[in-house]
Amino acid sequence: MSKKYKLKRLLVRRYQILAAILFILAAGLVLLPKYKKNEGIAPDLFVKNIISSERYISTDLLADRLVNQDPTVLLIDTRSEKEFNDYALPNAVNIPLKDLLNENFDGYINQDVYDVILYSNENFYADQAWIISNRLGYQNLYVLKGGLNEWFNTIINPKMPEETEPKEAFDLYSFRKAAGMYFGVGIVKSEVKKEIKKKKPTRKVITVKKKKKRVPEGGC
Amino acid sequence: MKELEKTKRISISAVLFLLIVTIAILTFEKPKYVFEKNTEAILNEVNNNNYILTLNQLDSIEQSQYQVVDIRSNFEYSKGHINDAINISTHDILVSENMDLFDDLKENSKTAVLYGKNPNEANSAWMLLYQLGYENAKILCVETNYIDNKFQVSNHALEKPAVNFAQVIKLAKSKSAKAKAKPVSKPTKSKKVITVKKKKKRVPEGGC
Repeated sequence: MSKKYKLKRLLVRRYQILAAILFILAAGLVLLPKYKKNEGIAPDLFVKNIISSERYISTDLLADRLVNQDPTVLLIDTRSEKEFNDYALPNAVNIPLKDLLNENFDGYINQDVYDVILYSNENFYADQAWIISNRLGYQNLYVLKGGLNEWFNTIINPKMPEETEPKEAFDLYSFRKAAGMYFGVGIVKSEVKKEIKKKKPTRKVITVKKKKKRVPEGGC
Repeated sequence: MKELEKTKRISISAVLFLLIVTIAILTFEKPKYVFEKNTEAILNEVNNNNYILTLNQLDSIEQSQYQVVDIRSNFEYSKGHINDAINISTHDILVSENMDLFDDLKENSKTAVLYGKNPNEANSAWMLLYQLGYENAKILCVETNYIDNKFQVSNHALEKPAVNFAQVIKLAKSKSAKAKAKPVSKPTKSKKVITVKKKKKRVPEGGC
């Protein structure tokens, strides 16, 4: 009998008991340790991104896209303003590395319309800019492999391949030469020389023929 | 009877609610690693070049004050590495044993000197460590090569332009302009050649 009575008393008070438990839980929420908020992506994913070499784009590929006037390419120069004013790739936008998170430039970096290609003298600063942007979860960002130094060594001043190299090397060389001319370095000197040489022999031949005609005349 | 059903429902829903709360608490997993620095902080650090060490600077620090860390793959490390360097490749940094090691270095205020094939490779590892809160990590600004069965370390000039770009472009443009101008002057030379040849024509005539 007493057992039944106790249960009955408990059941009468069941709402109070439930309410008390909820109160305790609510108080527990306040006491929970501060949850550290992670800005941007999680470190695990971040590591996967930074060791991947997918972000690099070669100078040849970039030159090809520029020559074909690919409208989705947006070049961003991460060097200082002075260096940018001295020389920059065509249609590049200057965002010095220290101003990367400036609100004014946010529209250039955080978007999904263009393929943004970051470059600097090497790819050190461009890579740092890429890593910071990647942490914030920005998409469509690439880094010019080797930067401007590589650009000059391959596109502006390409190295003539050895005679024993395969045909592909020569194709690449002629493409680089043509691309170099497109970017304003018209090294057409050798071609002009060839034209002049061709003209000279034809004139000589003509005059030589005239000599022969006159010699028989004198002989008579 | 009706009232009893109503109270039953209330208690059932209350119990269910509590159940959900307890399940949520039990399944909540704290992320293992959290970035301690925000992007502003890392950008500031990147811009004051304190994180770069050259070989000379490394020599001036006492050996007990730093630990050299090779962040290349184990394969590259086994071919050759800097003396006393330990191998932690970039993708293994978040392994708990390696994190313990960096924690140790931080507690003993030792500098973790990172190097790779070039400073660019070490940069990724450095940025990861710095953002995780290890301010004692630094990049050794060297290039490492494996040539003729020898491991070679050489200084690397960071972000140094190979040539004066503006000057080279200006020079190339002026050269191409000269090349274009030359054909104009050369026709006069070719005229001279023709006159010389005329003289020759007259010589045989005199011979007769």
